[in-house]
Amino acid sequence: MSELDEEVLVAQSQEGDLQAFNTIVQRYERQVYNLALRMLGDQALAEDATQDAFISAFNHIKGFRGGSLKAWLLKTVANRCRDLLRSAYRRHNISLEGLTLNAEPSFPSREESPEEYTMRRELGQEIQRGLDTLPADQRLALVLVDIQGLSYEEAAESAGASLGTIKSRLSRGRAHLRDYLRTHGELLPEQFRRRV
Amino acid sequence: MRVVEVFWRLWKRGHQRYQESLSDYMDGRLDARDQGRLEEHFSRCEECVRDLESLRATVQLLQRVPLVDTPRSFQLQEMPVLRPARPLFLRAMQVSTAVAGVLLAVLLVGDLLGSFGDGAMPPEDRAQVAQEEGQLEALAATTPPTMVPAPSMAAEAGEAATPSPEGADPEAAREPTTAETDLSAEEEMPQPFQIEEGDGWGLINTFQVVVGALAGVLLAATAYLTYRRLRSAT
Repeated sequence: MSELDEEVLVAQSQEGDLQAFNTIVQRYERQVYNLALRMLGDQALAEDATQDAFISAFNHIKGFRGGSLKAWLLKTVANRCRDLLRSAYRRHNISLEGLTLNAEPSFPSREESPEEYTMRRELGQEIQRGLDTLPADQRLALVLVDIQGLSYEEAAESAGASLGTIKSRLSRGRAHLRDYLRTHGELLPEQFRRRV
Repeated sequence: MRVVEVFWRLWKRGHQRYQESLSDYMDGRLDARDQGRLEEHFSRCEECVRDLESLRATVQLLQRVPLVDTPRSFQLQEMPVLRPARPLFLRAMQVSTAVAGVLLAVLLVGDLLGSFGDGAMPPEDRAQVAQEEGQLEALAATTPPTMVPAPSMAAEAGEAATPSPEGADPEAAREPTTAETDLSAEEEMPQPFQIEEGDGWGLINTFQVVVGALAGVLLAATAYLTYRRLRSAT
């Protein structure tokens, strides 16, 4: 989808065109869902957060004033995740540390052997355990920049924070995760054990 | 020994700053001057070099974390219904809490500054009190102290303490003396300070109670709404 196409789709969505908005959903749902999954660490909660985020995005798309649509959508889902984490913490109904990521990664590609696929899956699970130990703001910065590959500027926009804040959260988050992986390195797939 | 300790602390502080900039260095986000300083530090500090390598490995691991496929499509099947209730509820809570806070602040500041005391009395009332005070002082000045018995003593003094001389007109004897007249006048006169002050405090206390009660009601309403909200969320 080119930038021009995206602008047209946004304009049509702002007029209430559901089909145009669904094209946008189709384009970004994977990234939005993955952010929710990494933030919440639970598939069912991530599904709810993603769906709520797209509903909210449709309702508020008239307020979108240009810029990165991806960052705007990620900001919407990040806010929803923050709400869920806050209410979960408040009610103590969900022990976030106890949650395990039971989602399957992408199916193996033609170049990837089943062993590599399994290793990648195990790595994802162990990294998720490490991410769960981080404060939500640091986790969000890490997921946006290091996992989703956003630039610092896009990540700042998605997190609703300044560039300096994102840099600081990223620095502390990376250091915390490194310390976690150092102490839990034996849980990593063998291929990755000695790297950290 | 002390010099070594100070030097060690300074070095540690500098080292800590370099540690914090490793992430920015790795992403090429340091300016040329800071980058040069950090690279110079690397030549003296093996720990920072090791930490940079492990940080780089951590980021590489993160970059290898696979994106998960969505379990279903999140496309919207029908026009979603707006949910305006929540912002309205939140706004109502914010307003009521703010009003309650202002009322409590007014109450507290007023109490601390003492403006709920005499200062709250209207100027005309204050002038009246001052006038009555002046009259009383003038009265007290014209009356010899011995001729102003205490009100309780005045009744007993009538017959027992000062018997009337024989042959004197009993009616005249019953005539109240100037002092007694003044005394009775004083007795009849309401005690201006206490009563006026009491009245003032009464009014002010009523004001304070009303403001406090209003703030309390608002806070209670906020607490109740929050409780309802939490209950409905579970």
